[in-house]
Parts: sequence; C-alpha cells; structure tokens
Amino acid sequence: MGRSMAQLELRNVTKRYENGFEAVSNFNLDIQDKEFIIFVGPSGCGKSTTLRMIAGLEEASEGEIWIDDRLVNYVEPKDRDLSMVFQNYALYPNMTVYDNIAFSLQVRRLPKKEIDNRVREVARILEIENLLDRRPKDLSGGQKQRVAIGNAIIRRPKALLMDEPLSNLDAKLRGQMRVELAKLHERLDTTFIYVTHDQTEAMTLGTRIVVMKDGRIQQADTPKMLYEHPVNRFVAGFIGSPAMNFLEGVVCCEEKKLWLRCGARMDFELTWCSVYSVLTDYIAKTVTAGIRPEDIYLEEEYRKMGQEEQKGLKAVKVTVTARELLGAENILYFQAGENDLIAKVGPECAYRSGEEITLYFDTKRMHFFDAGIGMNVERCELG
Amino acid sequence: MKIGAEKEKLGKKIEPYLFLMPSLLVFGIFLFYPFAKTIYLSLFKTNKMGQAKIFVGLGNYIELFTSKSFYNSIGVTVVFVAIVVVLSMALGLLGAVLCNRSFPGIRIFSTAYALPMAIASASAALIFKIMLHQSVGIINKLLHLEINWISDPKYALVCVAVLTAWLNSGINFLYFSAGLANIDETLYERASVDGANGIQKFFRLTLPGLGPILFYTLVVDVIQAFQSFGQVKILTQGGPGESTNLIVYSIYRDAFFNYRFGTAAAESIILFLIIMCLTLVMFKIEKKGVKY
Ligand SMILES: Nc1ncnc2c1ncn2[C@@H]1O[C@H](COP(=O)(O)OP(=O)(O)OP(=O)(O)O)[C@@H](O)[C@H]1O
Ligand SMILES: [Mg+2]
Repeated sequence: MGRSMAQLELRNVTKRYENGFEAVSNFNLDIQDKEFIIFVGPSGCGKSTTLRMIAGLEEASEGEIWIDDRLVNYVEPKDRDLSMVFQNYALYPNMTVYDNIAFSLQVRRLPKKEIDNRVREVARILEIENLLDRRPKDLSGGQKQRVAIGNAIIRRPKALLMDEPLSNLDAKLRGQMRVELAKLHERLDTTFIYVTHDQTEAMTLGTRIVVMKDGRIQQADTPKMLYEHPVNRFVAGFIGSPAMNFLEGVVCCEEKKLWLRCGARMDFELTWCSVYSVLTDYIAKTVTAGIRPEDIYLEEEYRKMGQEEQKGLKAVKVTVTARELLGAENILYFQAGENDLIAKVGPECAYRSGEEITLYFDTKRMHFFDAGIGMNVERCELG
Repeated sequence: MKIGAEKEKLGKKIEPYLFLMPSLLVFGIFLFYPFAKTIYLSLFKTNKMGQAKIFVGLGNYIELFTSKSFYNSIGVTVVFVAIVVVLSMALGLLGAVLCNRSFPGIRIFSTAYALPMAIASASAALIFKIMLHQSVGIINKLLHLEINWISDPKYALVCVAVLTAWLNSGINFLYFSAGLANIDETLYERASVDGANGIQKFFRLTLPGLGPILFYTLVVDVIQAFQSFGQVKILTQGGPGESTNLIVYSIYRDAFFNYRFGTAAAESIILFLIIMCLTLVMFKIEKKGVKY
C-alpha cells in the first residue's frame, strides 16, 4: 500500500481553553503503528479535546505532539495526513455520496481515473456502492456513518481518528458496526484512535484503552489488564458493566489469618487473595474492597462447582431488592448489611424482591483499594 | 334550525375573506389601482395635469421603440444593473466571509459593513458628490488625479453604479452573514482534515452552502438595481448627455419635466415587463440548478 509507518507520540500535552479551563492536563502517550487506541471516560473528561489536538483542530497549550518523528504542533490539519470521522459525520450536504467520499482526493488533484477506482473500491468494502449518487439527507444513520468512514479511509491516512462515531446509531446497528470496525481495522492495517464513552465498544475494539478523568490519564492498558488490574477505584468502577461493587472494610489479623471486616455478617477471609502479601501492610487500616457482579454466585451455582473452585468463596446472607432479566443473565440487586450491591447471575434465578438468600462472593477475584487515595493496593506496593 | 345552520355555513365561507380584507384593501389602493391606472394612461396622450385626453392605443409604445433615447436608456440600465448586482453581491459576500469568525472588534466591523443599509440614497449621493469633486474631492486628492468623475461620460455611470452597489451591499452582507452562520462549523473542520485549502473550502463548501440565499439576494438585487433613482437624481440628473439616463430616471423626466405622462406610463409598463421576465427566467434557472 506504500503507507509509511505511523507512530504518534504525545508528550506532556496540556490544553487550556481561553476561559482558563484546563480540559487536558499533562497527557503522555505513545501510540505504535496499527494500534487500535480507545479514549474512554465520562462526559467532559477531555477525550474529544485530545483527539482534536492530534488532528490539529485545536492547538495544544503546552507539550509536544509528534507524528513519525515530526513535531506537528504547528502543522496545519491538512498537512498532518490524518483523517477523522466526526460524531455528527459532517457530510457535505450539497455533494453526492461519491463526492463526499472522493473529496479528500479531489482537493489533492489526483487523476479522475484513480479517484474513481478508489471510490469504488472503498464503496465495495463498505457495501455502499448503490448509494453513490445520493445526497447525505437521503441516507439513514448507519449509511451516513459508512460514508463518513469511506471518506476517512480512502486516503490511506497515517491514522484514523474517530470521535464517538457510533453514538448516533441505535443499539442493534451499533453492535453491527462495532464488528465491522474491528474487521476494517484488521483489513486496513492502520492506526485507529477512537473516542467513546461506551465501555463495551472500548473493551471489544481496543488493543489499548486510555481511561481518562478530568483531563488526566488514569490508566492506559490492554482491555484485559484494565479489567483484571485496574490502577484505581475510578478505573475499576468505570470498566465493566454492571459496575464493580465497592465495600468499605477494615483489614484485621485473627487466628493467624487475614480478614476483611465489612460490618455485621460480612467477614471475608483473605487467605486466597492474590494480593495477600500486600494486604498484610494494611492491618487495622480501612480499605475499599471491589468485587465484580460476575464474581458473585448463587447457591445453586456454588454447589455445581468443584472443590478447587469453591475455595475462597464466602457465603453471605443478603436480601434481594430487585431483579432484572437480561436474556441470558439476571442482574440481582440486593442488600448485604448496609451496602447496596449487584450480582450478575444465571438466567435460572427466580428470586423475588424481599427474599433472603445466600450468595457466594469470590474473594480470589476481589480488588482492594486504598480507602484514601483510591489506588489499587497492588500499585501502592510498586510505587 | 336549518336556516341557522345555513347561516353558519355562509359565515364559515366568508370568514377567511374577512381576515384578508385589510391587506387586500391596502394592496388595492396602493398597488392594484395605480397599476391599472398606469396601463390605462399608457394608452393615451395626456395634458399637463396628467389627465388622459387622446386615445392613441399602442402609439406611446411604438414611439418609444423608435426612439434612440429609449434604447440608450435600456442599454445604460443594463450596464448599470450588471455592475451594481455583481459589485454589491461581491462586497456583501467578502464582508460576510471576513466577519464570519470571532476576533476582537468584530462588532465594529460588522456594523461598518451593514451600515450602508441604513443610509438614505440621497444623503449618500450628496457625500459622494463631494468626495468625487474635481478640485476638492478626496478621491482625486488621494489618487493625485484631476478627473471630473461626474461630468465625464466615461466615468459618470460607473460612479453612480459603484455608489449604488455600496448602498445595496449592506443588506447583502446581512443575508450572507446569516447564511454563513447556518453552515455547520464541523464541515470546515472536516475539510481541513481532508486537506482542503481556503480557496477549495470557499468554492466547495461556502458557495454551495449559500446557494439558496445567493439566489434570493440575486433576485432582490436585480429588482432593486432596476429601480435606483435617488442617487441619479442628485449625482448626475441623467447626464452628462444621456450617459446615466436610467429607465426610472427617464420615466421621471418624461413625466415631470416634459409632461408626457402617457409616454412615462408606457415606459413604466415596459420596465415592469422586463423585471418580471428576468425574475421568471431566474426562477426557471434556479429550479434546474440550485440544489438544497
Ligand atoms: N471551547 C471551549 N472553551 C472552554 N471549555 C471547553 C471548550 N470546549 C470544551 N470545553 C470543556 O473542556 C472539557 C472537555 O471537553 P471535551 O469535549 O474534550 O469532552 P469529552 O470528553 O469529549 O466529553 P463528551 O463525552 O461529552 O464528548 C469539558 O469540560 C468542556 O466543557
Ligand atoms: Mg466529545
């Protein structure tokens, strides 16, 4: 394809808007060729701002942006050789789909013949060959989105930037397009930088996910690492759906064993925890324990497990407050002590609100966070 | 019972017309009646009071179409309208594009560009007259020239046209500004990332985006330019010779200097027909060309 390597580097990038608001602070990130990078975070955390700085639509107030060993801070967007899919697609309303896709080649004055070949190839990949003569207003949301992607990929840019490209689509179409985007990435061999606040998209698409909050990177890691080793309470709560449960408790040492006391009826033996050794530093201190809804089991599920698996599972008496059936699984809302918690259990569960049942918490898969700064205790040891 | 229902039905039928009555009345008195009267007058020779005296049929029209002066008027008007429309639209568009961003002092510039709209053509003409004066005018002083702009047949028409274009550019500026504000900012952002330069953005995004408004201003500007009067009256009185004798001015001269109301009426009708045809043609072309 004759495409050069695309390495992107952001060094201490900060964005301060005219009103003094610091939307992005001290952003450091190395992006390798062909990565699928996801920026994820709550609304207003500076994802779009960062993407727009990379594209050159917004000037960085401090720091350096490098593309392939070229400092691009003062390079015009048109000379950065990136392309972008906007949230509202930004299709040119008075051009046909054909011209919309071809635009970036037309302004570069490529020969008509070559433009035509490439437009048709892209249209074939995106399955929009029959729409080429239409105008944007005659397209559905999903079709518009394909056209926007078509325009972005036709130039074979160094990197493809996308700002919440799926957020205007309905849930089903979003699922479909997600799969197609993953295929496209495989096929194009281009670096993708993708903004979303949908964590399903983030987890399924990204080779690396950058979790942001208040303009700062919280963690930049693979989906698996984020899920299994979140650096802090924010990341732990943000990644995963339904969100992780948090319990406050005190670590104590009794009968030569470590325990986590979370109020009445809730003592967890920590013997099987992966971070057991670190927790010994926290004796008599308060920590926040995190347990994912999928790591809480029904009694029936517990009974079916083997001996080895049952190890570290702790029975807790709880009161069901609500249940939601989501097709293949149930979301169980319950109260344990004074904590409102959530469990994700099998579809056979039929408990009703008000029933008292026993649930099994998998202490092997518990996460522990410093109650003050919210850091994961495994990180505290490292730092 | 039945009579009541009938009455009600009748009331329902009349109701809409009652609502239309006031505006119909105003139109009737100030538009339709004078128009009919003009057609009527154009078929007569009149006395000095403007009363129809001798019926001549199409005599007035035939007279016009055999008069060199009338053809001159039409020619002068066409040149004038062309200059005015092109220049006023260009000025308005330039101003609007320049002001379509925020920078300190933007309001001052916007006001300055829109200002001509608020100036009466007569007072603007008076100011221009001084500026264009052969010995004390600022234009000659700045350019180190000694041209008698207004009395030279080469320049007089251009001067009047430029003045009119400037006067009309204010409202065009306003229309274009509104039109530009309607073009989605992210389109330009996408175009920059796509690699388009300023000129390409202007021709491929801005102009097409303004399409409908450009057309509307074109129609209005053409009609308005055909009807320019005040600035000619004050600046050149149709002279030197007949070099700025626009149709409207010629109508005025025929009616109120020469007391040939019949001829003036005939000219008015012809002017009306010209404008109507032009407008129709423009709408025809628009239907084919401009896409929304
Ligand atoms: N032009 C601006 N001037 C001042 N503040 C701005 C400007 N644009 C954005 N901001 C602020 O910067 C912060 C980050 O904005 P940004 O658009 O990057 O958020 P985001 O992460 O993309 O959020 P979302 O998910 O809602 O799109 C927000 O708090 C926003 O209010
Ligand atoms: Mg955003």
